Amino acid sequence: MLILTWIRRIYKILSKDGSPAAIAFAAAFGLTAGFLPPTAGLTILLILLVLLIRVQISTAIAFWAIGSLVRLPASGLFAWIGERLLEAEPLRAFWKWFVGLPVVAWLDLDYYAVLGGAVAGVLLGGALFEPLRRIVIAYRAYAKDRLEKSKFFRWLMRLWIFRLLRFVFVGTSS
Amino acid sequence: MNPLRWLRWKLLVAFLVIGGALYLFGLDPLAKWKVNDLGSLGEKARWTVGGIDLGILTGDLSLADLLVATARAAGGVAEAPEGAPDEKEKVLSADAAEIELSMNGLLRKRFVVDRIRVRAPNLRVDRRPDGSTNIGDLAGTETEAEAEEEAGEPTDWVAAAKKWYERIQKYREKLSRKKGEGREEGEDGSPEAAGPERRRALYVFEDRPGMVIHEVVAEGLEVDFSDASAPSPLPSLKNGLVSVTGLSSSPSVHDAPIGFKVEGDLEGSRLSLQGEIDLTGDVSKYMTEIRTGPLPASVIQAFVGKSLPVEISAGTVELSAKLGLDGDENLRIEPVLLTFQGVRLGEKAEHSRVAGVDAKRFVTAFNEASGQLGSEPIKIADLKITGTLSSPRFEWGETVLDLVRQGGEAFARAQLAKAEQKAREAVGEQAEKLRSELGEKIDDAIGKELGDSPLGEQIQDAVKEAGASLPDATKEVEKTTRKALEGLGIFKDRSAAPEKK
Repeated sequence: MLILTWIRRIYKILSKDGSPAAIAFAAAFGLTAGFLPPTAGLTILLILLVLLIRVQISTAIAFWAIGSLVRLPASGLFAWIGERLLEAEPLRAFWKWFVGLPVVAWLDLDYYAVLGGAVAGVLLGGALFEPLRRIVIAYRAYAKDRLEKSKFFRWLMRLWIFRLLRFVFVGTSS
Repeated sequence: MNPLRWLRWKLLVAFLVIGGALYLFGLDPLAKWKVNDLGSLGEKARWTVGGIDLGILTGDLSLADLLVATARAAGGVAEAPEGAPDEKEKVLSADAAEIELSMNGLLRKRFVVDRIRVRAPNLRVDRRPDGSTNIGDLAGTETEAEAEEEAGEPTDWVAAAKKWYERIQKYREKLSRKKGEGREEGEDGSPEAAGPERRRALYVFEDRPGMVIHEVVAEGLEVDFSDASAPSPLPSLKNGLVSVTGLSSSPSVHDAPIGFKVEGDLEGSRLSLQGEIDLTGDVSKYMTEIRTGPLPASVIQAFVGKSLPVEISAGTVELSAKLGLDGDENLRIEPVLLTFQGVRLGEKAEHSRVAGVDAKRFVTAFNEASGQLGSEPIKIADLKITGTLSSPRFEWGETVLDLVRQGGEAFARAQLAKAEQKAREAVGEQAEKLRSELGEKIDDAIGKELGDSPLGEQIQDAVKEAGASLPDATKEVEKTTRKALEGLGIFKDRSAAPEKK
C-alpha cells in the first residue's frame, strides 16, 4: 500500500502544473536539456530549473527523451553550430567575457556541442512554445468534449487493464 | 499569475534543509571518508587524513594529520595492494594543513587558493642506487625508456635534480604541443578522435589558469634524506621554512612567475635557497640564489660528492651563488663565492684537470695553501659557471690561479726547506765527523803542548760544548768549531809566547 501511495504521489507531482504555459515551458526546457550532453553544467542547471520552476515535469521528461533521441544523430550539427558561433572572430571578445562570468563559467558553454545544442534547443523550444500552448488549449477543449461523448472511451475505461492503471496512479477517489 | 507562485517553494526549502543539514552534520565525515577512500586506491600516491573541516561558505578547508606515501612497495613496482599508506612508504606527513579558497574564483570555475599553510611538515626523501627517488614515484615514471634510463650508473643528488629539470621541460613541451593544436585530444591524440561533444574553444579560458595557488607556506619543516648509495646516513634538514608563490595550472599565462624560498638548518649550518621560475614566456627562466653556512666536508661529499672533480676530505665549505638557467639549458652561475676553511682535497682518477690545471698539481697547491693559511679561510669570489646543464663550463678567475700559484710557491718553499734541512743534517753529520777528527787532533795537540794547563782545559770545555750542541744546530757546531779553531789560533799564538801569560 505504501508503494501505491508513493506511485500516486509521484504521478500527482508529475502531472501537476498542467496549465498550457507550464506544459509549453516544460517542453522547451526538456527539449533544450535533451539536445545537450548529459554531463554538461547547463544540463544540470536545466534539471534544477525543471524541478524548481512550476513546469509540468512529465512533459519535460518526455521532451528530454525526444531531444536526446534527436541529439544522437545531430550532435555533429550542434557542434558545428557551436563552433561557428564560438569561433566567429567578432564574437570572440563577447564569449571570453560571457563564458567567464560567475556561475556561467560552470555551464560548459565553451564546448561547441553545448553551445550549439543550447542555441538549437532555445530556438526550437521558443518556436514551439506558442503553438504548443495553443495546441494544448485546443486539444483539451476538443478532447473533453469528445471523450465525454465517446462510447469507445467509456468502453476502454471499463477494461480491467485501464481500471488497474487508474487505480495504481490515481486511486479510487477521483 | 503571481511570480511568487512560479517557484516550487516547498521543494526549494526541502533542498535548503537537506543541504544545510548535510553541511552542518554530515559533510565533513563524508568528505573525510571520500578523501581517504580515494587515497587508498591511488596507483602512484596514497594518502590519509585524520580529519577534514570544510568551510564551504567561507572557502576555508582544514586537514588534520595528513600522510602522503608512495604506492610503490619496497623494491617493487606501482602495484601496491589497496589500503591505507604504510609508514615505511611515507613521503610527507603534517600535523595540519589550512587552505583558503577564493569563492569568487570558484564561481568562475577557477580553483584559486589564496594560501595553503602546512604546519610541522615532515618530508622523507629516499634516493635509491639507480638514482630514482620516492618523490619521483609520486609523479610516476612517464615512459619505459625513462625507467630504463633511471636504472643506470649510480649518481648523486645533482643528477637527480637534472632529471627533474628534464621532466619539467618535457612537460612544458607537451603542454605547448597541446596548445598549438588548440583542440581537445582523443585517445589517439587527434582532436577528431575526441568526438564532437568533447571539442571546445580553448581560447575562451586560455589566458586564465584553471587553478592558481597564490602562496604555499610550510613552517617547521623537517626533511629526512636517505641515500642507498651513501656509505653513511645523511643529515636531516631541520627548522625549515618553505614558501612558494604564484603556482598555477597554466604557468605560461599566469601573471606572475613562480617564486620560492627554502630555508633550514643542515648539520648546524643555515641553508637558504630562493629564486624565481619564470614560465610566462616561450623560454623558461630559472633564477636561484643559494646561500649556505659552513657545510662540513662529509655533508658535501654525501650530497654532491660524485659530481665534484675532487674529493673533499676535511674542513668546511661555504657557498653563495646566483644561478640562472633558461629553457635551452643555458646555464650561468655567478658570482660564486666559495669559502674554504681547513679544507683538504683529494684527487679523483676520472678528472685529470681541475680549473685548467693538472689535477694533482691543483690538489697539492690547494692543500698547501690551506695548510699555510691555517685558520684563515680561502675565498674564491670570481668563479663563473657557464655552458649547459649537461655540460657546464667552469671559468676560473685570478683568485684560483693565484691560489694555485701561491700554493705552488708555498709547496716549493716547503720542499726547499725540507731539502735544506736534509742538507743541513748531512752537513751536520760531516761536521760531527770533522769535529771528532779535529777534536782528536786538538786533544793530541793540547796534550802534547799544554798538558794540564788552564788554557788547555778551557779549550777542551769549548770543544765538548760544541760537540754537545752539534746534532741540533749545525750552525752552532760550525760556530763553536770556528771558535774552537780560533781558540786554537789563540792557543798557537799564546804557545809561541807562554811567558806572557
